[in-house]
Parts: sequence; C-alpha cells; structure tokens
Amino acid sequence: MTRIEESVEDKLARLTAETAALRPRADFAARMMSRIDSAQPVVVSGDWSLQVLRWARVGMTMASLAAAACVFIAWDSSNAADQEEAMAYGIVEAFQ
Amino acid sequence: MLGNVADAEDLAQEAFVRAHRALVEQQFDGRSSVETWLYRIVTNVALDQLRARKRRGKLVEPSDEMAVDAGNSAEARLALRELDGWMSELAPEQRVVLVLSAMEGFSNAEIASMMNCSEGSVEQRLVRARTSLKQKRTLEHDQN
Repeated sequence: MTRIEESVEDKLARLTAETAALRPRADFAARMMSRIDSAQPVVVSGDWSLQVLRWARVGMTMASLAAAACVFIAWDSSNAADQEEAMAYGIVEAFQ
Repeated sequence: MLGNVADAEDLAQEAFVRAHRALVEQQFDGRSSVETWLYRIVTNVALDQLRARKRRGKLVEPSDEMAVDAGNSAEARLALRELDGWMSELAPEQRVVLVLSAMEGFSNAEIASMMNCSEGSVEQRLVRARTSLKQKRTLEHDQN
C-alpha cells in the first residue's frame, strides 16, 4: 500500500509507531529543574493578606491539635482518678 | 500535539511548573487520578500554544528543528514533521483529541475529563477531525 492510498487510521498507526522513539533532547532534565527553580512564587511581595491567612490557618490547626490533646489528657487523668478511687473502695470493702 | 520536539519540551516544562505550583498551593483535590490531572494541565497548555500558533500563523522551520535535535533518528523526526503537516489544518481541539485518542490510546471518558468537556463533545471532535483528514487525503490523491 502506498502512502497515498493508506487510510487515515493506517496513517495514524504508522506515524504513532514512527514517532514513538522520539525523546527529549539531552539537557532536558537540567533545563526542567532550572525552570522550576526559577519559577516565581505566587505571593506577590507586599501582599501580606495572604500570608496572614496562611499563618492563621496554621495557627488554628495547631490550636485544634492542642485542644484535642488537652481533652485526651483530661479524660485520661479522670479515668486514672476513677480507677484509683475504685481501687480504694475495693480495699475499704475488703476490710469491712 | 505540537509537532516538534522543541515545542513539546517547552510544553512539558510549562506543565510541570504549573503542576508544581498547584501542588504547593494544595489545588489538587484528588478527585481524579494524578495521570488525568497532569494530562489535563498538558492539554490546556497545548491548546493555548496551538491557538496562539494559529493566530500568529507560525510554522516551524525545518532547518532550525533539525539543527538542534541530533539525539533523535532522522526517520522519527521526519515522521513527526509529516504528522505536524498532516494535522496542521485541524482545529486545536480536534488535533488534541485525535492525538489523545488515536496515538495515546485514551478512552473518550478519560479525554472528556482531561479537556473538561462532555464525552459527546469528544466524539464530535474525533468525527470532525477524521472527516477533515479524509477530505485532505482525497484532495491530495486527486492532485497526484
């Protein structure tokens, strides 16, 4: 089949196979890293509002974690106190 | 999608920069797979470049491309140039859909997700792309 006669699908398949071996040029990886490293940060200098919001978000997350830790410690302490009291009653009952 | 190695490298770099920025800003919500998400970025960048190229009427100079790309075989580069010329008159959306479907092997559903359109739009673009290429082939055959 000549190239003039090949169908659209045959031509797509042929060109897919023939271009499959294409690779980036030798220094592509280095240029890629350089491009990423030099990409400008999104926050424009002087735009403090976004920075404040980000720190507030971090602060709220830390506060939530601290509150959860306090609740756990309080529960654990209360639980331990209850157990000690229960043990104390058990000793008293044993002597009664 | 873009028909030459240099533009493809630029596209890859731009896509990775956008992906890197999106990850830093936690814009990837995980609703799609990482592959689909990356291809969506690549597709958007490719469409931007194809539309800009159409507006400028820019053609890649074969001598420039061959001079800087010594790492790929001549046959592969010629095939890429043939592909680019063959698809040059397709609308950008048709070209991208045809490459993703016929050359990359993605399903219509996957392409719809990448291009943020319906599967019906994908099918329509594929039909129109194939019809345009058939008409072009018939015209060239008649001229020969």
